[in-house]
Amino acid sequence: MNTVDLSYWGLAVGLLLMLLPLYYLYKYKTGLVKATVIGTLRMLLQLFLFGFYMKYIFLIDNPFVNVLWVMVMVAVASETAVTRSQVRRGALYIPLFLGFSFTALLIGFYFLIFVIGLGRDVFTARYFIPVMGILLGNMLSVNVISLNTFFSGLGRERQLYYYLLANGATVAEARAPFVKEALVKAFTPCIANMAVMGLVALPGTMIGQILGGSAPDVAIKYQIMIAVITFSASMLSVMLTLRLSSGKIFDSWGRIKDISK
Amino acid sequence: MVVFEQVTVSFNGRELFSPCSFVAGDGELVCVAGASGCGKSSLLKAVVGVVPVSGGSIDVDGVRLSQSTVHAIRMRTAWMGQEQYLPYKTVWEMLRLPYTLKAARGAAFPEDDVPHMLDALGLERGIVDKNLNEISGGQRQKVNIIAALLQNRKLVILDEPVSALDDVSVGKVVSLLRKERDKGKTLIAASHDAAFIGGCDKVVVLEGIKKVVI
Repeated sequence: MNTVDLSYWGLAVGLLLMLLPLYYLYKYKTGLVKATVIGTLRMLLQLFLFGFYMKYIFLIDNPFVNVLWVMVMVAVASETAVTRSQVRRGALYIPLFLGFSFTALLIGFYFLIFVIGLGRDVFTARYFIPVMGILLGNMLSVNVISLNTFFSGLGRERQLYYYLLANGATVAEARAPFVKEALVKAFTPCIANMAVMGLVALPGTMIGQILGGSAPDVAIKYQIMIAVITFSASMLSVMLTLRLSSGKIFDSWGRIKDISK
Repeated sequence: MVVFEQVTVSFNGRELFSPCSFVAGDGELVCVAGASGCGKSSLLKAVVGVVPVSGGSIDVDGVRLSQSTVHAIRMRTAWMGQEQYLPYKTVWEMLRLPYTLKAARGAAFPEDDVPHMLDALGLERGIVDKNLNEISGGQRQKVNIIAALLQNRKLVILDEPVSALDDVSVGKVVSLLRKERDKGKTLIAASHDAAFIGGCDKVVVLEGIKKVVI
């Protein structure tokens, strides 16, 4: 079963739906109209460009090129996360880059090799790039929430941190309440989404697969796995980023450094 | 025992007080006094390495405070900070909080001491079940003092322990701290309360560039 292609006219008709949220953003003077228009135009341009060069990457399907492309995605994801955080670039970029890379490759390869069962085809563009892409996309959004929560909590309640430290806590113990708050804030929505998947929410990836011609039962299995790997990868990347950035956040005495923008 | 030798602490590149030397011995209740902003809290925070010492040295029981020894010193110290408010915890959880740390591993929480200390500071026993945001600032301050003393550590540092208390309560706090002092503990407190200062064994007054020992 072939996917029904969307004409450009059809896309334009679909985009008219954006007038609805734009109206309310304008009516309530949110100041977000310009950002929404720019964001939508950027999305259109980026996705069209993505489709254009992905066509050639899929055609070439060279393992080296595919890995290089994933590293470009990691670099962009890291830069985006740093830009959206309240922390100086120098403190977070490398930890994010390493955290994202290691996690995407570890969890991605686990999925591709042990779950799907790809052997030497693990670097095939058709599987490798979308899997890494979906992992990075989820890791990015979860990391931004958790890191911002962690740093704002540490800034707001540093007296709690120093109370624990001064009473003999290790740095890991003293920062634990803030890690906990960050994990709760970042992962509560993920858990809620998982709980209603199939009842209230029908994930885009599953719908995309079905629209692309996959049988629903195959699409469902992939969706289950994607929910699991994105959740696991998001958690691992957050913990890695916090661990790797610890030396930038705390000095050798455990004191909080000033790394805010 | 804590030995301060020519200690200076800086803030934004400016020294808060002149080099300060004194000894807080075992079985002593020492008060660091002075006007607001003179550096009392900073001096106390320097003992546990929360604030860097810009000059001089601090020895705790013969151990020179340094990057490599600060954790061990912290494990031997019970600290009460000036701002200490955990709105999501009950009084009981606050009292037990230091015992959840690895530093207290193996040590049993002295549950039997809690009622006596509550009585000594004029707090009702039922307060342990209340959330910290349900009690007054003065009551929270007393709870924080008890939390520090319950740790049974040889060095107790209290930053402004009576700032929110009336004179009667201050007297009760001094009385309780003296009992702890009589057990051989070293207690160092920062305060500008005259009644509290009068109840201490030794007072160190920080006055900008001048240090006076009374």
